Amino acid sequence: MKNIITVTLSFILLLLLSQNAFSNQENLTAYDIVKGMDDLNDGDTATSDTLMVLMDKHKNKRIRKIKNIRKDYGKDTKGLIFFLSPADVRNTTYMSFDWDDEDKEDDSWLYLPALKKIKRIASSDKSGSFMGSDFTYSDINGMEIEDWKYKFKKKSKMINGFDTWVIEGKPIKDKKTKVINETGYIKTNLWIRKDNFMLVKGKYWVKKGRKIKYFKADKIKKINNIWTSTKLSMITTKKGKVLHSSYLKISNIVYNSKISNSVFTTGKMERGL
Amino acid sequence: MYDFIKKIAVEKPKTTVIIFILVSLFAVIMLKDLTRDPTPYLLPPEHESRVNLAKLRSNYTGAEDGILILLEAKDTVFNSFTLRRIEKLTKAFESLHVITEHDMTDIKKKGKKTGGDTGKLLIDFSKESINDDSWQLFEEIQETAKQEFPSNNELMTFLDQIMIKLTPIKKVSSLSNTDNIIGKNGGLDVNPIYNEVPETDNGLSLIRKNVHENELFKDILITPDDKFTTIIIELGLGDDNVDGRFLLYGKIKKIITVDIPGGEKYYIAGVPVTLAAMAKTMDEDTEKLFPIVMLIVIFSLFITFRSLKGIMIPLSVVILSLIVTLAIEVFFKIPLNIITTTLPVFILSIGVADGIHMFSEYRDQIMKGFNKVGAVKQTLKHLAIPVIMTSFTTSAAFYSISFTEVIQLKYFGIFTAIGTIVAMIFSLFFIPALLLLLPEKMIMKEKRESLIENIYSGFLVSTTTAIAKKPFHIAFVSIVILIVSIIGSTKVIVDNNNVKYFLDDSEILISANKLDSVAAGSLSINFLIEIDSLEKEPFKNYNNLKIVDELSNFLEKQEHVGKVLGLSRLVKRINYALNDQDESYNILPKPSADDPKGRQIISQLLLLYENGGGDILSDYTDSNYKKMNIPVILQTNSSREMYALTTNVKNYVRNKFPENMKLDISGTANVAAASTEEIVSGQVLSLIISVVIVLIMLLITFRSIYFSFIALIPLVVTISVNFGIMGFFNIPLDIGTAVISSVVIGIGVDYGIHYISRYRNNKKEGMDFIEAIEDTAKHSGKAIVSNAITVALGFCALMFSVLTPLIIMGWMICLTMLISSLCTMALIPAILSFKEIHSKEICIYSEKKLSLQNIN
Repeated sequence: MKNIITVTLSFILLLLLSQNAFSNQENLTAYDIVKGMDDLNDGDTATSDTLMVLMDKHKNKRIRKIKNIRKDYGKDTKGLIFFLSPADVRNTTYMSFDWDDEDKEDDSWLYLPALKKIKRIASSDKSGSFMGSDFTYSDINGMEIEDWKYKFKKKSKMINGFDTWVIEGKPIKDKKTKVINETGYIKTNLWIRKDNFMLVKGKYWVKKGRKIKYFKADKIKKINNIWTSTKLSMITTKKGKVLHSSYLKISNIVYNSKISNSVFTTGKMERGL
Repeated sequence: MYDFIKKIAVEKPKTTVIIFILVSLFAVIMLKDLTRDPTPYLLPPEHESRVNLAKLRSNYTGAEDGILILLEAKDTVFNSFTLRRIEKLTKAFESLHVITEHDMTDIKKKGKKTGGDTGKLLIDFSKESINDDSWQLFEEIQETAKQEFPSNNELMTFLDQIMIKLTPIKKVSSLSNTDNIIGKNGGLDVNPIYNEVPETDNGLSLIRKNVHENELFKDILITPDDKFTTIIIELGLGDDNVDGRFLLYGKIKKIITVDIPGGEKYYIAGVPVTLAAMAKTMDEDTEKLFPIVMLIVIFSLFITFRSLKGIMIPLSVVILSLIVTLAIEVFFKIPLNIITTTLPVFILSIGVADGIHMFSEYRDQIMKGFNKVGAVKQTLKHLAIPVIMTSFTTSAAFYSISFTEVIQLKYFGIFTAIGTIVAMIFSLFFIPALLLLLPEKMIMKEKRESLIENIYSGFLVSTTTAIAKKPFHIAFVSIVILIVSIIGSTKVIVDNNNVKYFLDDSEILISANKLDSVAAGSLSINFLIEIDSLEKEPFKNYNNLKIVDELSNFLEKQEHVGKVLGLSRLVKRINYALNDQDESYNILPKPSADDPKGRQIISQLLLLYENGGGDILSDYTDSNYKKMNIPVILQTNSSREMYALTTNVKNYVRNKFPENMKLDISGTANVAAASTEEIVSGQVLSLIISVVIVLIMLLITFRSIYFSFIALIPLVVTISVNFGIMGFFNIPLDIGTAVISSVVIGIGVDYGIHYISRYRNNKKEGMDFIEAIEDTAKHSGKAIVSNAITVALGFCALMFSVLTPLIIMGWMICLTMLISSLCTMALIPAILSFKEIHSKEICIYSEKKLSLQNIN
């Protein structure tokens, strides 16, 4: 489990692969490719601004602006999300500590400026919606790839002019319940670019309500030498009809800047940006 | 008219019979496409209440009708067995599908026909049994098909329909999968009520405490006595998929009783279940009522004619008329509904009367010594006009029923009207042609007047004479009856209750009553509020949300309201939990100096809720917070009680709502409430129309205002008595009883026509008043009484229905037919004698005086 705030950032995959990996592409297994995607470098720290557009089936929009700060502590991650707009929720702050140790429950806090109170929040539901969007916490933090069994669906498929592998993932039999509890998914299809292991397209089968979600990552470029997508979308459908969709536009991304440990404290939450 | 019929039926009997039989055969073929529509909605999709319902479902989630399963534990739901069972049931319900063997065969066939990769996948799919993952597999087939056959719309529609059957469940909510929001140690806990069923008493009592503590769960997930919990299954099947709903109902029952049995008692209710059961009942009814009414008609014919021909000819006429009428219904693609299910009973009972008249006239003519052709000609000469007139009056009265928004009644009115005309055509053409073709024993046995018949006509004659001599007594008694009836009529209530369609001991009624009495209820109504405001997300403003909250409080206090949900309730709950369940925070969060409109605190609480995985905001509000949905669960299925509630709410809104806020009422329950109004206005309208039409036809027939009004009076008395009975015996005016008045007018007016025509003929032939009346009583009177008994007996068939409104309709029509004939037989001679008295006033008075003197 990585960090919640990486919302946007964890789709933004990073890591330059060694030339070695590229040269042996033909021998890669489906698992190797997903592992390659999972291992992409996303920097030790990251800050960014995100514009969230949430759209209902009647195309009514809700827009939220947030600022993310993330710092990795080995395999653990700490993160902060500041709400910039709409005005009613300005200065609301969300902080999370995600522990790699699966037995340890992640910690999260919410600061509500209207109450001037910090509340510790306990919720084990990672398959739930992230901030009311179509993304879930598990979408944002990445799935536990060891719980899945991967196979090629297609060895080659062109997406926006880039060659991709299409990989189908299904939960390993005895991990099925765990996977469903953590992600809500019972199957995935992943389109992974061959040149940089970036996930550019995804299809997720949701158990509850038998919905299907479609993920897309656009505007992929290198920022601070880290492969990053600055335009992400997730569309929830049922029986072929769109129920709800979410679009994220990420800007002002800075990787590996120095971020003090004191940022991730309740005091900082109250003080705001 | 007579010439026209003669030209066809008498001169070309073979051709006539062949044509009629061919038409009937063609109609039989069409019958296989006859469908039934058990819609709960009495109103068409264009009606405001239906438009609101569509709006509700398109704007909010969770607004589909749900199947409710109430579980009753022995003493508490909070024991590990029950909780584990709930968990298993919830999972099993989530996996429900309605794919049948038949569908699998269709999929295979489609696969073979389609070919290609899609075809292969479909064939493979049809070989596997359906499991939890089938829908994913099928979704991939859909994807393949889209790429392989992008323009094959028929294939796409087929695949879509299968997909709907594979995933008919939108959502299942129960104790085992609902999130709770609890304040704990200064923090907030947003988690399912239980992840794993605890084994210890401590664990169980903690769950118990948490569930009871959340007011949103009360009477749904738990009742205060701890004994009952509800599982709600929201369907995504569509209202029209009756078979699917019925299949689901059966599967749910099987899951509860066979697959996941347990010690808890269960009750299954909800609109989809009521509908499914009603569809099934209608099927059973159609199968059962037809043979019963046929037996009754055969019985009546046997009693009347005691000959095979006498039974077969009128019987074949009504059966063929029924088939043709139903075929017309198929032709216009109109399904049978709860009321038109009774068409066989109506057409057989009413149509047979013409047949009886025709055949008995023919027999009389044969006995008078006419040959076959002569007898047929005589029969037509005598009866063509009366049969046409009576059929048209009956048909017109039925047609008047269709002047309503209520779909069921509309079609009932139209098709009974058509059926009556079809039966008339068959009687006028088919019977004469058939009589001519069938061999006739020329010398019939002289009709023996049996002792009983002698006593019977003797009785009719002597009563009529007595009545004619004492018109004031009759007038007095009639007026008393009329007054009593009118008093009774004022007590008539208008009500329609889908659940009460079922008998007292039916599972549907018992389950719905249980949910209504111990839990939040079994039916929901929705109050939709819309605000016109320039403010962004206006319902995040405390002052606006407060108005919604106050309406919610008002609703909670109303009779039959079991539960009020909605955004204001949710915000309250979050505020309460966030403040560690401190009772003083069990309110909407108040504005502060920094936050004068309270927008910030409300927005932040909602953000907190969404962020905690809360996913039911879209049940209560649109994403712009300009529209609110307040779902209310009702402990009643009575449209009258819903109407009372909606009237109260409308009044409240008129007084308390600001001008920029508007209320719409929606939900299945509201359609029911709106239909109450429609039934009443439709009833009044159809009564007026049928009286006017009948009066016009009477005027045409009699060419006399005086006689036309005389013919109407027995009808007025009968209808008053009918309403009086309904009032005194608490029989509500519903879609069943609403048709009775028009039926009475339609059939009853024939009696008046027959009676008065005969009387006037007699007078014309020179008989004096008493002679004319006696002869009328003897001939017309007898025909009227036998007709009334035949029709009444026919309608008795409805008493074998399993749907209450039909049973009531059956005996009510049966009773009113008898009353109608009685009124005709008593009132018409009485009224006629008034005129006689008037013209012979002096004469009679002096006679009376004389006789009095004699007695003294």
